[in-house]
Amino acid sequence: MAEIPNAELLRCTLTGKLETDEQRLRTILNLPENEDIIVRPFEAGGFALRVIYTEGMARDDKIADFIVRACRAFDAEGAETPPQKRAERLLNRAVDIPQARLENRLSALVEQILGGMTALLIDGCPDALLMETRGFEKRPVNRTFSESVVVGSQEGFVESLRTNLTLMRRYVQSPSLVTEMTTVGTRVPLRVAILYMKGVAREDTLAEMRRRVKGITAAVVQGLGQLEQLIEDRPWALVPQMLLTERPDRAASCVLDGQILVLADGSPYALVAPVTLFHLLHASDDTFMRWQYGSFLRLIRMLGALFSLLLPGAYVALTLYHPHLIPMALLTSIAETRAQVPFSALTEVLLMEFSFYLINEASTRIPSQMGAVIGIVGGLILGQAAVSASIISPIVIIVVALTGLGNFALPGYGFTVGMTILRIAIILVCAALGLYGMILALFLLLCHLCSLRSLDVPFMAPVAPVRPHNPDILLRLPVWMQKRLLFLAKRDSWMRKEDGK
Amino acid sequence: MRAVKIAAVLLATACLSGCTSARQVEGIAFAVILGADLTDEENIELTVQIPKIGAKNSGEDEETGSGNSDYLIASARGATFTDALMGLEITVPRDLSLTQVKLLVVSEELARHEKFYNFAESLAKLEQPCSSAYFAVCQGEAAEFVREQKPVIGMRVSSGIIAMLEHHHTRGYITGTKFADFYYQGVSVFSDPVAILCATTQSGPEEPSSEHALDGVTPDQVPAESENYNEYVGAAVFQDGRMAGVLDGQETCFVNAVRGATIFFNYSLEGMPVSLQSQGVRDMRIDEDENGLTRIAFTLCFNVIADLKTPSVDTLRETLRNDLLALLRRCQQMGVEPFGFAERRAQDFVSLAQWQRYDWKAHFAQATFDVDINITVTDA
Amino acid sequence: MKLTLPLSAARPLAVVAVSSRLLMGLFLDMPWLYNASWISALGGMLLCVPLGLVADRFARACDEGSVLEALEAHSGPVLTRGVCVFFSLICIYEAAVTARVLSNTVRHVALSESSAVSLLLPLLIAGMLAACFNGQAVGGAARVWLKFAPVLLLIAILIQMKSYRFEWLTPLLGPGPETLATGAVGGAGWLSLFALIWLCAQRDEPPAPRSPVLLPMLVTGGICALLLALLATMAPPSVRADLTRTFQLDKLLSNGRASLVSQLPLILLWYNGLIFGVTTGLFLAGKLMQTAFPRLDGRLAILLAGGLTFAVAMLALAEQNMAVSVSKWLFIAVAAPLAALMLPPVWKGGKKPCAPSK
Repeated sequence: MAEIPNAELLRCTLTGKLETDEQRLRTILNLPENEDIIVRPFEAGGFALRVIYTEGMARDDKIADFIVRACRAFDAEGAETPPQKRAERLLNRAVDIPQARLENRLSALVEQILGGMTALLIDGCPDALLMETRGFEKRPVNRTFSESVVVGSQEGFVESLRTNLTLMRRYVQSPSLVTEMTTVGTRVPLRVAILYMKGVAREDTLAEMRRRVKGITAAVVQGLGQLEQLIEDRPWALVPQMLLTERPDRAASCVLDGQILVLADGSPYALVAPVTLFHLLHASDDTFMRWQYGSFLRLIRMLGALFSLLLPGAYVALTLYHPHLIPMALLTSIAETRAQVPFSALTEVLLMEFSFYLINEASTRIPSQMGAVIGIVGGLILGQAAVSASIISPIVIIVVALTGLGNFALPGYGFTVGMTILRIAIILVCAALGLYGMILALFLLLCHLCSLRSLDVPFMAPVAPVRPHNPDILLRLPVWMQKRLLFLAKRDSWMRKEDGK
Repeated sequence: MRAVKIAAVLLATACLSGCTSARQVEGIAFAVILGADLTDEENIELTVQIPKIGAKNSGEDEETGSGNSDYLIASARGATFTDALMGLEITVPRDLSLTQVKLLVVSEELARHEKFYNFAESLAKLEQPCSSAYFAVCQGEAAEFVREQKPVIGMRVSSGIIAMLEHHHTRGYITGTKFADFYYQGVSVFSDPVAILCATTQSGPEEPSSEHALDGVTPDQVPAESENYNEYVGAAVFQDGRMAGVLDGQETCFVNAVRGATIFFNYSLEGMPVSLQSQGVRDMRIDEDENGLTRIAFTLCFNVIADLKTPSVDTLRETLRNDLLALLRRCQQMGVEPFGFAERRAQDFVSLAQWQRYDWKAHFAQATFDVDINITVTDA
Repeated sequence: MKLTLPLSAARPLAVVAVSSRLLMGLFLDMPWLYNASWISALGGMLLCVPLGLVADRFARACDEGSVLEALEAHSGPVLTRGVCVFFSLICIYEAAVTARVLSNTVRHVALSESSAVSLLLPLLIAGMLAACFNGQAVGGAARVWLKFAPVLLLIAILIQMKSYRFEWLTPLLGPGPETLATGAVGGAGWLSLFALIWLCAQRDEPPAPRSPVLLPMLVTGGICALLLALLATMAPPSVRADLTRTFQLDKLLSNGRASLVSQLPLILLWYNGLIFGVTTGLFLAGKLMQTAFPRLDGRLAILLAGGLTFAVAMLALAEQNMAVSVSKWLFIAVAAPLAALMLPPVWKGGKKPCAPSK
């Protein structure tokens, strides 16, 4: 496999000869073609220096005030310092940037310069100073887009890893929250942070997460979505085995339960692992509300999930194979509305489902100013006109509408797409075998779910296999009954509440 | 790769099941009433009433009362039930389904004929079970009865029939017998099965035959007229696989009461209306005296609702007791036991073989009765 | 692929699979027990008590490892493997009988014009795929199903509430003690399948302290007896009727008088119970084959079991008469080899582990 350009140079360290080191960096950073990489020579303390940074990623004013001007003020003492100690002396006495360190590896210098930090090369010194000057433009912390709640925090993650880490620190103000930084991608690195609560997250799970992240051999990893695909247990499964959340409060709740978070630069999400099916079905405002309301809404959501998965299939199975299981009054209504429709029940359902996905997909892509158009097209053309033209029977529109509502009641977008694919499979099986097919499909699905694992934790736990858990699976009972720490956490964790301490 | 394999297997499964026969719901003719008659040549004639799918003027018809034109009536004849059903399947323009039948009506002639047992057996073993339908015996032609069964209370006939029969059963006019009850009771070795009694009459007698509203009243003798010619009142009792006799409205009320059903019915005591509510049977004892005669003792409980005037409890008790004893003796004479005494008596036996050797029928025919009526007067 | 079944997953699987087999056997295949089939279920349960006791004693004596490994260590591999092959054939036969009844049910409920092949193949394919997910998955699915089943059962019971008449449980001994005794022997045979599931199970980590065989077996037998008694209160004994499987199925699913609409919860319960029964049979057959021939891949073993099950189900061997004839010997066929293998180490006594931890 071909090596990346200048791989040999990247493995080198600084020589202490300013011209040589500068030339090497220029070669690696493709200067002068790369016009946004700035190399600013200046002198201070009687020796030559080079400030190197990326325009736009680093803040010019910070560099001018706290690096260049500060170094010039160091003039008086510079001459007495041996060349090898110049960097250290500058770091201790001159530079006014709090987050600064010595670095001599060219690869690290290049990576950090591109990430918005500023490197200061010093003549005669084999170490450079690497200083935090990041100040790129970024989206402010805003409302979430795909995980809206009525009650609870409204903040969402943004694309900046630093901001996201700050958010996490704000929500979990504990020294036990550990942030491990690493990069993924062998050719173009992506900065990734692994967050966990020390003494709460299980060591074996954490080691497994580290192993999987380190084991990624992909050249480029474009965000958390790809990272998830690279580290999940069963990539062929339709159900996601990790949770992508846009909400820092939810991420905080997970990390406090002993789960592990992964944040990545450029991704306004947190990846949570390990998770169970029930994490995917729960929403964050369940915990914010009083237990009665939370439980009720959760039950509605579960019913929605059932509708989403089974309703069109059940309609096809019942009308095609089991009309005797439909009450006569309803049956005559169905038959009368269907009498004018030229398609079979299966075609009708598939047609309507397809139209529904089309509207859904179009409304995601359409510019926001034209959002109303989708409503008109969906409501009028596909609904009323299709019924008037006897292309679709009204009952199918009700079935598909209920299915769609059920689908959107689920909190995770990825999960809803998985459910949609499963739903189509179930419709087809029901068309072939009726209720028998539906039950066989559900049985297989159940077995499949029970065989899944998320970061080596059974996906259907704590139900199958049974693990100690709070009354927080289908219903969410009062908060004073939620005494246990999640079974995913370390058994003898300091966070445990069971003994009331 | 595994997902591809699974998908391939599922696809193959779907292809394999291509030989299954899915039917579009509008292509099926769901019968709501099935009638059965015995023809002059002793063949079975089946008649079905099927709602017409796509008929849009049902509301108008109901308003104008112009008959049941929303329904298709079809008949077919055959030597057996199965033959007649095949004929029906040919004559009905769509796939005939009996799974939604709400009412099975059999003519009295057929019910009393030896062919009835096989008929009932075939109906019970039907591939498309319709045993949850109410089961009635029609005094007259079942075909005419099916034709005359119009939608009532502004609903489709399927809902209308159920609402009406449930109401009639609560009032005690009929037994709430479904075909399954009838059949299971018939193939058991306990009490005899009963069916709903019905008839088509254009007009009943001018005057009532008795001071009691239901006394002596059978469906063809209801002193009333309406647009609906079909009447349901009374019970048909069966024995050994065929119909053995008829119970009038009042007798049916008592049968229901002794069988433990809670019914509300009006009773006339010396010209005064009494609202009665049966409360089941208490202290039932069935044993044999020193002569080997079976003695059946029980207390039948009633609530009397004191509306405007409280009736004389002693007189009421005595009248009710006499009516009940008369019914019990009549049933003894007919050789039928529809009261559920057999189930009670069978509790004293260890096995079914012992019970069958006991010959309950013979014992019941000779039985003496010690009946008490318990009456509680209540204001609600 | 190595087929494994943790004990915690084996318990719910055994409860679901064995209870549906017991109900199927005593209600559908032995209709001549009439309304006293619940007594046969209780009798079968009592007959199984010694087997359960021995199995529990053996399990206690073998603290670690799987039961099959312990048996192999004691009785030698040849004998144990021979018994495994025999048990594997029993599992295949029972899976075939269950599959046949399920295809009958499907025909009865809807697909009356479908061929047996088109009904059996999807079932067996689904069963084999599920078994290939391994024991934890199938057992886990059974555990999840057991959470829903009582709710469906409650709905079904409430729908039929007006139909129950307890006097139909009499005469208490129904067809008589001799007939009930044959029913009890059959019931014991089907209940003893519990022991086969336990035989294929492995200890959990950490090991659960509860009784692995006897208690769940008693619970299953008790629940089945209760359900059979409840079914018996819904209709008087049909002494004069020709009691075919279809007639009994109709009685089981709808009791005739409940409208067909309200059959749905019972249909769901029945279908699922039988599907679990077939899958359990296939998994156990595969696992036992793998024990007998350790080099055999798990998937291949299950495929083999599925093929054999299909062949048996398509033959008259799985029909009612044959199934009843086999049921008379099933208890002996299961209990005798197990007793022969387990009793010697149990008699030796002691608490020492009889199989090394792997």
